[in-house]
Amino acid sequence: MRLLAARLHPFGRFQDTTWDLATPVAVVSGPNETGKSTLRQAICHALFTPSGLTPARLRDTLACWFPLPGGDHASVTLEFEHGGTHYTLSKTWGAGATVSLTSATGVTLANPERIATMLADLLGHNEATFRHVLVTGHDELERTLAALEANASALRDIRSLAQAGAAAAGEVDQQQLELALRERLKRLFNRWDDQRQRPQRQNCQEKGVGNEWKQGVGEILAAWYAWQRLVEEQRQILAVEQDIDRVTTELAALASQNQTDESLLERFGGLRSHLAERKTLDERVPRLEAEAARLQKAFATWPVVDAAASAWQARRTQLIDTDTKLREELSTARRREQAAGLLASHQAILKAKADHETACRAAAAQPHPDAESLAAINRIEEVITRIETQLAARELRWQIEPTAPATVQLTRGTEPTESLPLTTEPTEGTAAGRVQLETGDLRLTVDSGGADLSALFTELKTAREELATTLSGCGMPSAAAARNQAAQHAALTREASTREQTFNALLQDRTLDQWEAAVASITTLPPTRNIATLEAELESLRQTMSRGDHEAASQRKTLEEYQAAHNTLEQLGLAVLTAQQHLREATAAVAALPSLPEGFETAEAVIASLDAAQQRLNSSREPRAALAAERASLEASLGERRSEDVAEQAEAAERTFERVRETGRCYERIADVLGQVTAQANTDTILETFGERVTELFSGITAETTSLDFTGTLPARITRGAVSLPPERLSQGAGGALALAVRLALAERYLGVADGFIMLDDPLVHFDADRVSEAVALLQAFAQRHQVLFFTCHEHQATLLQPSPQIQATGSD
Amino acid sequence: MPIRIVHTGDNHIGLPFRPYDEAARTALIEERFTALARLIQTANDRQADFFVVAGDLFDSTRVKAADVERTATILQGFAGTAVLVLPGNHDFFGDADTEVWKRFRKATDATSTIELLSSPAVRRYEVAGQPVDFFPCPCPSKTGQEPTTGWVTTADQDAAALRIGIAHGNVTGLGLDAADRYFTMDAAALEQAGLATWLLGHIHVPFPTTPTGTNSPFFMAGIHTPDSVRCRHGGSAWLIECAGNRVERYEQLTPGTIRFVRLHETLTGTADIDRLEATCAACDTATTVLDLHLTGRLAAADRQTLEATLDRLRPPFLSFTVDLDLHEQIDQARIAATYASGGLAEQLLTALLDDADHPDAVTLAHDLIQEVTRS
Repeated sequence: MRLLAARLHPFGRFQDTTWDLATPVAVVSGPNETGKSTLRQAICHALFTPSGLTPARLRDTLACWFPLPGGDHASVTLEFEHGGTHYTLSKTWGAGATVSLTSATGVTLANPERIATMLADLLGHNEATFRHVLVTGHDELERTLAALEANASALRDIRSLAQAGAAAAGEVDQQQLELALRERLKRLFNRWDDQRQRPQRQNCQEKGVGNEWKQGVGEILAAWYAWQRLVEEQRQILAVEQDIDRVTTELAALASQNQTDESLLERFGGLRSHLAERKTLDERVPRLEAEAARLQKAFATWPVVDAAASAWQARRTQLIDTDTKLREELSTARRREQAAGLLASHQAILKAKADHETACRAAAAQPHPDAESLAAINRIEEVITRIETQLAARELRWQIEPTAPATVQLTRGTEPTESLPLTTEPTEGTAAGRVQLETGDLRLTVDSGGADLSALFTELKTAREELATTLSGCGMPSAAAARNQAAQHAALTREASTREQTFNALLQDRTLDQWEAAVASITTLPPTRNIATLEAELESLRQTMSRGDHEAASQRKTLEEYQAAHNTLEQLGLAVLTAQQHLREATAAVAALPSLPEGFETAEAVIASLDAAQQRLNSSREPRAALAAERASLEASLGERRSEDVAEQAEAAERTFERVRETGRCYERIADVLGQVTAQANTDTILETFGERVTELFSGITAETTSLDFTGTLPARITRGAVSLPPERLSQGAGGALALAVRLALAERYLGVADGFIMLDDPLVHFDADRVSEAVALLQAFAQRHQVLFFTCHEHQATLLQPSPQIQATGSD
Repeated sequence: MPIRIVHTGDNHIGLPFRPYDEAARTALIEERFTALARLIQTANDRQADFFVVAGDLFDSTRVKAADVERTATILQGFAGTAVLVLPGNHDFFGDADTEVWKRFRKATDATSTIELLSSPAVRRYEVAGQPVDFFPCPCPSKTGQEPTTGWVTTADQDAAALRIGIAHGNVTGLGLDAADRYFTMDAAALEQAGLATWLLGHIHVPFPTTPTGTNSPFFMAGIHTPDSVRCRHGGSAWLIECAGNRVERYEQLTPGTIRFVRLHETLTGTADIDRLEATCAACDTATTVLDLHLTGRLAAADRQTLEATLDRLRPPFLSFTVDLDLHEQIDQARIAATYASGGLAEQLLTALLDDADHPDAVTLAHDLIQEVTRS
């Protein structure tokens, strides 16, 4: 943006004045108080101050620019060019406040917010940048100088120089900010454990109220302590108030008890002598009542006991007789129980005998070969078997192939000859040892092996005939049947033997006749009840006898006692009458005494109450005094404090604590955000560029007779000819040059390549003539890139900077 | 003719008002007496038969003798049948040696119309032939778990009499007493006691909530003139008219003249300041104890406006205290007007601007930056 013209209509002392600013270096000159600063302020307000101000803001910011007397508004119109487009900005504050922005294209904006947004875009920087960086008036230069001087001792590197410059531009030093933030956080959080929301521990010890940190207490902890002290104080006051209540309650209880005791003593203390007599009688009457009752009971009991003893004797005799009978019946019953066993044994014996006889008969009926025949049969069979085995070992195979059908007689081994019809087909078979074929006149005999088999055949035949004879002799169909029947006979014989042994065992060394005699004797016993019934009756009888005997003994003892004490029943009756008379006399004496106080059962109870009341009265004086003293002490310790008041204070202190803690959290948040912001910044490159440009500009202003040297980034050295000085020893003129260099470098940095303007207000006041010329040349060079509005009251500087025509500070009406 | 009772309580004569300056304290202490005197006058004007103080006539058991005597003198101005004074939990009756009541008895010996209800026993009076029985339940201590009203349920009640209970303590649902430290009573139990009504004290809020009505099972006096900012009303007492054994009509009396006002205001601009000023100006300043709690964020110019406003408002008030928790309003415009764009300060503050969790962070950061740059 380049300014072309400014019109103030009205603004401050100007009713309607216009300045033409459409040159690279627009010099506004004139003596002091001719309106240079007014123009500067008007331009700033036009660019940045909204027209719609609140009354308070209007009063504080723009009311001072209303024309006097009685002005109620101020107006500024700026014409400027940006990107080849011409704009007109008009603003009025106060009465008839309005704003408009018109472009050469004919578009007019009237919305304040849209105009502000568009201006921000056109300017490319904010109000602060404009005020702090792009406007360099006396104040700004003085601030830059002051910053450079204030930091002279620290101006040991480019960073410090840049920081001084930045501070002059309203910027903050990161390191200083971080340091201040750390100090602030420490001041707030020191000794505070934010995680536990309690003071930090010391050697594992809590540092709460009563054991507080003495030093280094941060603001949060201090607020917490203040709050907790009040909480503790409230708790203590409450405790004291409750103690007072307790003591008061105890005192009230004592007072109440004393009142009751005094009342009791006052009402019944005079009855003590009567009460003593009543107490004696109260003790005697029950004794007499007991004696009379005891004698009366004996008198009634004596005849009854006597009769009962006699009756028992008679009954006891009956019971003994019953016992004898029961025992006899029980004896019989037990014999019958034993006889039942004998009868069962007898039956078993009879059965065993029958079983034995049956077995003997079966054995006798079983046909069987005698032992000799059986042995012969077995022996012959063994011979036959041996020969048959030998013949089987010589088995031969034969085959006949007749040429024509025929019938032949075939004998195989020892088998009978068979008639075998033959076809023309071959017929074959086997034979044990020999085969004999006979047909017609031909007999063919073939033996197996070389030995003569005839002897074997003969022996076999003989053996078979002998076996047949033997079997026939004992009536057996075969050897196997003979052996089977022999085995069956042996089994039956063993069974008969077993039965006989059983029978003999059951006889138990007695004869069967003896058993028969014993069974005959049992059948004559009389019938009885069962043993359990008889035994139960006997037990019941025994108990009855025992109880009766015990009671009889007791009765006898009672009678003996009565007799020992009273000799006779008549004398006991006399004693009863005497005791009753004594009781009547004592009861009458009690009735004659004053009655007992209500609520008391006995005189003894009244006397005990009176004694206790007196004792309590005597002993309560000291506790009452002690309690009263304790209450006085507690009340004194409380003073005028009340738990309710402290509770309110504690609530306020808690609010304060919460507020301080929130402040701490805000600072923590600031530290977080600062860390994020600084992590993104690339300050080193900026600093290096900035330092180089300041050096360049400074050397230019000082006609390159003075240079600003750096060794690396430190230390700085100012060299003029052969003389080198540290920066803190710069002359005022050199300081001014350095300040202007810093300002121009800053302006360059913020404007960059964008089109913009700066405003300088007499920046060359302290420069000597040579340096002014160099500075003017530098500014003119600067103006080639960015418009310069130069305000001065020095005509010489104005002439140097803009030979003609200069703009008068008063402008043109 | 109905029997009229003026019911007050929690008068807290002797309350020291320590947090206030001398002038305000003197006025507040004096108001306790004058409001009581006004109430007595009202009771006389309305021809009340009884003037009942349902506890905490005095602020403690150690109130100065002069204050006790002055109170007794005021009460003796009652022209009706009797003034009945029940010890509450602040001025409890421990025993006959309880200091405040010793002083009170000494000061009231000369009259027979003031009766100290120091024991739980029926007090009988007669008004135009109508028996009136009071069932007082005095507090024996400052704190107590059990209500003091238990004895009433077992006491003999004369069906022909107007029967009124007098007690002091919290009522469940009416006052907050989580620890049940103040003789908490049960509203239903009170209602079932068979009495026409109960005259209660302790909670400084009046009950019933309507200024007039025909019946209520119990009445809470409310403090007769406000004693702190916790008191939201202008002082309260009841005029109760009874016939037979029932309340026929009640009417709220307002003997207090002083008001305690605590305003919590959040200020964000001049409109809020103007509203605050209007609210304050609407107060009766000479009788108002104003306690302002101001929070929020204001622009520097607005802050100056606020301070000027407060300075303007302050003088006529009886007491005027301000708790300021205000921060300077920092917004994008302010940042743009103060910090060069792209700089550390501008970046930091812009980043903090939208932190809803810590709205004060941006202001504190701004203050810190200003502090650092100034140094």
